[in-house]
Amino acid sequence: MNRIPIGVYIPGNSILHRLDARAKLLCLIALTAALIYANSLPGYGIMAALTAILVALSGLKLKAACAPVKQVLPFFAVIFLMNALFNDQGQALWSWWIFNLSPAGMAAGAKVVLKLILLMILFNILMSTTAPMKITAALVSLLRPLGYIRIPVSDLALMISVALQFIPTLMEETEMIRKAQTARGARFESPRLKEKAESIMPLVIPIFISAFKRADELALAMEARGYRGGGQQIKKAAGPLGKSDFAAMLFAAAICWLQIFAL
Amino acid sequence: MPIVVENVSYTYAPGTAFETAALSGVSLTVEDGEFIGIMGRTGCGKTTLIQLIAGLLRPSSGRILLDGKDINAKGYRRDELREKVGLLFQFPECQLFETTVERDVAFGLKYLPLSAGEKEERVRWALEAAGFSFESIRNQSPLGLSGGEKRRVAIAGVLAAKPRILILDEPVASLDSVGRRDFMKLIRRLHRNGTTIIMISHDADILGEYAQRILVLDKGKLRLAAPVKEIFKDIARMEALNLDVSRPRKIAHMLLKKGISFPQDITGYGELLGAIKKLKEGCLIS
Repeated sequence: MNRIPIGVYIPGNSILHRLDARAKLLCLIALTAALIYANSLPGYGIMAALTAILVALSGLKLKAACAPVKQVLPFFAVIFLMNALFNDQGQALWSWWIFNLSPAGMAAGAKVVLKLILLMILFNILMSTTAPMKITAALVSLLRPLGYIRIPVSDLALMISVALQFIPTLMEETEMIRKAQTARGARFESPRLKEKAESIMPLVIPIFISAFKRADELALAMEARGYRGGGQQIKKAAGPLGKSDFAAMLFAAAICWLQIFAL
Repeated sequence: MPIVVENVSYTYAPGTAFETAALSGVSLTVEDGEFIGIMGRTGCGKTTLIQLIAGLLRPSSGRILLDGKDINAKGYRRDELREKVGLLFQFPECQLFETTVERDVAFGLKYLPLSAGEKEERVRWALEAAGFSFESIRNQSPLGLSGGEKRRVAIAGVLAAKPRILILDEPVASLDSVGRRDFMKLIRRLHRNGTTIIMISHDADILGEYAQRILVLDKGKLRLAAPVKEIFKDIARMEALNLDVSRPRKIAHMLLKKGISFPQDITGYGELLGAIKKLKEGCLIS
C-alpha cells in the first residue's frame, strides 16, 4: 500500500538528469567495477561517500533513492547470515553443527551486503534520472560495434526497452490484483505464514496471464504498425557528448583506477 | 448501521515526485439498504474512495466507520470488514486463477467458518444468481470462458461471501446490452433483498434507472450528494461538471422546451413511459 515506485524515471533538471545517457551508462559500468574491486576501508569509504554525493546531486529524496534497498532487505539478511555462519576462516565466536560464527565471516558478509546496497542505489539513480528511451538509445549506440558480428543490436535494445517500460505497468497491475484478491478474502495481511503462502497463487497466476496477454497484444500492435524486426535502427542518441559528460566519465575512470590499482 | 466517512483525505505516494492528492476532505454517510451511484470524470477519486471504504487503502487523514467502528483503528478485525463488504473491481475477470469455476468462486469462502456442504451451497447459489447452470459450469476452466462469462464468474466469486455491502466499480463497462440488462437485474434483486449497493458508473441511464442517491466527485472533492431526481433535475449544473444526465431526463426536458407541460422529476425509462401514457390520456393537458 502506498508504495514508492522504484526504477521509474522521475523527470527533473539536476546535473545527473542533464548528463548524456551514454556517459551515464559508461560511468555506471566503471563505478560498478570500482565497487567490485573495493577491498579496503578507505575504498569502501570513498564508494559510500560517492554514492551519497550522487544521490544529493540527483535531486532524489533519500527515501526514494533507497526504496529498492528496503524491498530486498530480507534477501540481504540471508546473504549476510550465509557469509557470517559458513566462513571457516579465523577464530569462531560460536560453533554449532555446521554453523561457524566468526568475526572474519561477519566482516565478509557486511562487505558483500554493503557492495550490493551501493550497487542498487547507483542503478536506481541511473533509472530515476534517465528516460527509458534514452537508456535504450544509449545501449544501441554503445553496442553498435557488435552489429558487425551479426548480433541484432537494435532488436535486443528494443526488447530491453520494452521490458523496462513494462515494469511500472506490471507493478501497478500486481497492486490491483492484490487488492482484488484481498477484497474477496485472500490473506496477504495475515501474520500466519501458511495463509500468506496460500495467497501467492491467486496473485501470480493472474499476473502471468495478463503479462502474456499484454505481450501478445503489443506484438500485434507493433506488427500492425509495420515492425518487422532486424536491421531497423532506433534513432541515435542526440548529439555529441559535452564537456560535463567527458568530465564525469574521466572522474568515474579515475575512481575505477584508484580502486583497482591504488587502494 | 451505516457507513460513515468523516473528512477523509488521501494522498498518493506522499513525499515523492509522484505525490498527488486523490481525495480531500470527503464526508458522507451511506445508510443500510441504500443504492448509491457515484459519478465523476476519470481521475476524480471515485476508485480511491471505494478502496478506502473497502479498507484496501488507509486514509491520509480522517476516519471511516462501519457499524460505528473505525475500520483503520488498531484493534479492528479486518476479516470482519472483508465479510461485510464485497468489492468488484473494474475488469474483475483479471482475478480468476483457479483450475475450475467452482474452486474459483469458492476461493473467497476459504477462511469463513462454514461446513463443506454450506460452502458448496453458497457456490451453487452465487453461480445461479450470476446466471449459470451450476452443474454445467462447475468443472470448466474459468480461463477458457468468454469475456462476459468470465466477468459473471468473477461476480459470483464476490457474491458467494454474501456481503451486506456490495461495491461495484464500473461493472457494466464493456458488457453488451443483454449482459448489462442481466447484470442490473441481478443487482436490483440483491438490493431488494437488503444489500447496500455502491456503484461507480459513467452510465447516467443505468444510475437514473436504479440508483436512489448520487454522489458527484470532482477533482478529489465531493461536489454533490443528493437523491437522483434532484441531481438530474439541474441539467446545467451537471453539464458544468462535464457530466451527463439520463436520456429519459433529457427527453422530459426537451418536451418541456417544446411547450408541453411535462413532469421534470423523471430519471428512468419506466417513469418516462408512465408520464407519456398519462399525457396521452389527457390528464396532464391543461
